[in-house]
Amino acid sequence: MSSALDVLPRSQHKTVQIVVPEGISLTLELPSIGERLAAFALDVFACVIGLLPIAVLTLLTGADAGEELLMVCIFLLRNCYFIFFETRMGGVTPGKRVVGLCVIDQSGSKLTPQVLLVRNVMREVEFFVPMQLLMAGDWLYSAWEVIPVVCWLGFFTAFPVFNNKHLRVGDFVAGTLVILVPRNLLLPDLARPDIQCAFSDAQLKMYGEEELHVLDHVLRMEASEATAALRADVARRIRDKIKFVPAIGDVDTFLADFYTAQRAFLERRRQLGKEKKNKHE
Amino acid sequence: MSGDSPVAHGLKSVDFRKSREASWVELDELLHRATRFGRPLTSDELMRLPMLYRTTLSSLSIARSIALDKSLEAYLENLCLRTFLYLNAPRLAPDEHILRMLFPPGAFKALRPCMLVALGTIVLGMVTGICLVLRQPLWAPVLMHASLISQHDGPMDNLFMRILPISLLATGTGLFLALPSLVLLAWHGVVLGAVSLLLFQGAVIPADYVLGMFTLAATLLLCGTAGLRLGWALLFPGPLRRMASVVAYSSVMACMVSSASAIALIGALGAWMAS
Repeated sequence: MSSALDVLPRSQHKTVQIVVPEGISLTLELPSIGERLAAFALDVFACVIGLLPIAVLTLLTGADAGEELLMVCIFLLRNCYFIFFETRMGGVTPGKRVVGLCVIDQSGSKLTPQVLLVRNVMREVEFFVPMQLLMAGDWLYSAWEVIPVVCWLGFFTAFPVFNNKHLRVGDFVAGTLVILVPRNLLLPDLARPDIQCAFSDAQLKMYGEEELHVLDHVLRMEASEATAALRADVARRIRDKIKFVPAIGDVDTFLADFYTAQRAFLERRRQLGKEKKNKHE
Repeated sequence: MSGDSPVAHGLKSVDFRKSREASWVELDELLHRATRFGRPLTSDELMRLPMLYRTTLSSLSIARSIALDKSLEAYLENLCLRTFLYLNAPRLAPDEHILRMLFPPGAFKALRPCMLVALGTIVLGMVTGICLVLRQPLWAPVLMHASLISQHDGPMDNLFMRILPISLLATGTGLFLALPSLVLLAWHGVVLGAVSLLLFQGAVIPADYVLGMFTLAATLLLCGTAGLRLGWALLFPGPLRRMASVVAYSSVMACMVSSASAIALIGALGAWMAS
């Protein structure tokens, strides 16, 4: 079963532990930079959509007055959008919700509106102001003025890459963290109420908790030809290792029975304080 | 079956799960309804949430110690996390709190020394500008040419291309011990002094330019204060570590910057309507 450990899905995301005020530690998954960028792009897209009516109006009526009004509206919208949603929806904007992200306080305490304000003001500084300066091409006369702005933008955009929690400067200063919040489903219990094969204690002593975990994962895999072959292989290995004499019969039944027996055995040992982590102990 | 049949003893984790599963499913269902757009939870259901949260946390704790079902543990952890996020979400009615957000009660008092320094710098600059123009009137056009606000751009362009970036720069360079902030304050003070003197002497200057100058003065004052505070927090963090002291004052500084932006926006709108 040692090479079967490869079937365990490797966690793709970095994790961080926080302790909730009740004293229990929870594991938080950190999104990758691509996921954060995707959420941000969706939010900006939503802002652009929101501005379309005004932009169309400006184009139709013509004149500079409309253009300046548009600039003011862009400024107001890009600030208010983020602050409004993050305070109203509990640290989640629509773009973040689609990707499944959430903003929390790093210390595990309640998010205050002040903290969200800091985050969003910093986003102005990091991204929107230099972007605006760069896009209004006629203001910047020479390379001497473009290069500092590009460096400014580049520094802040690259900041999340250089720290292990993928914090923006805004997150850093405000003390917040962006995490992934998937919704897990309650899977049915694999332990069966009664089992057909009998295993002796000596047989159940061979494996430890890690192997049980692997078996759990194998049993929960979706049925397919490859899975059936894998399960048959696992059943054969177990049988050889524990020297189980009678013929196996149905592979799935054998594995489920073994799982139930093994889990009961290891849980009893755990209760008595004799944990067995893996087969090498 | 042999005498050691584990089923005869009963899996503890199975019993545990049977007894608690109903409450987890209820919590999951409540959460799902609460976070969806639609009918909000009734007050009875809301009262159930904290209690269910605490029992689920204790279930998680028990599962971690006795049960060897990883998927159950992952489910409980996820459920606890989602409940925690929901219960700790900021509850804010925007119309209630927005003024308190922009102008928090203790902020101005806490920043008083820095504001006095910023104000003093601008006033010094103004005095310098006035003296320069009084002695040699040719200074006036030179200073106005070198001013931070352009006479040629419209007030909105001035707002976004000059006033806001410069003010943000004044705050951000607090990282460099706020020396650039002081330079910006002094420079603007000089030009402002010259313009004020010209106005006093009766010269004709476009109204939107003058309004822009005063808007920038107000904005720079607020942002310069924030920048000075930032520099101070870095130089003299007191009992905290440097980054921690920055974080501690960050909300106050953000409020300064946002109120400055609000003032800048109002000033620019006024200038635009005057032009």
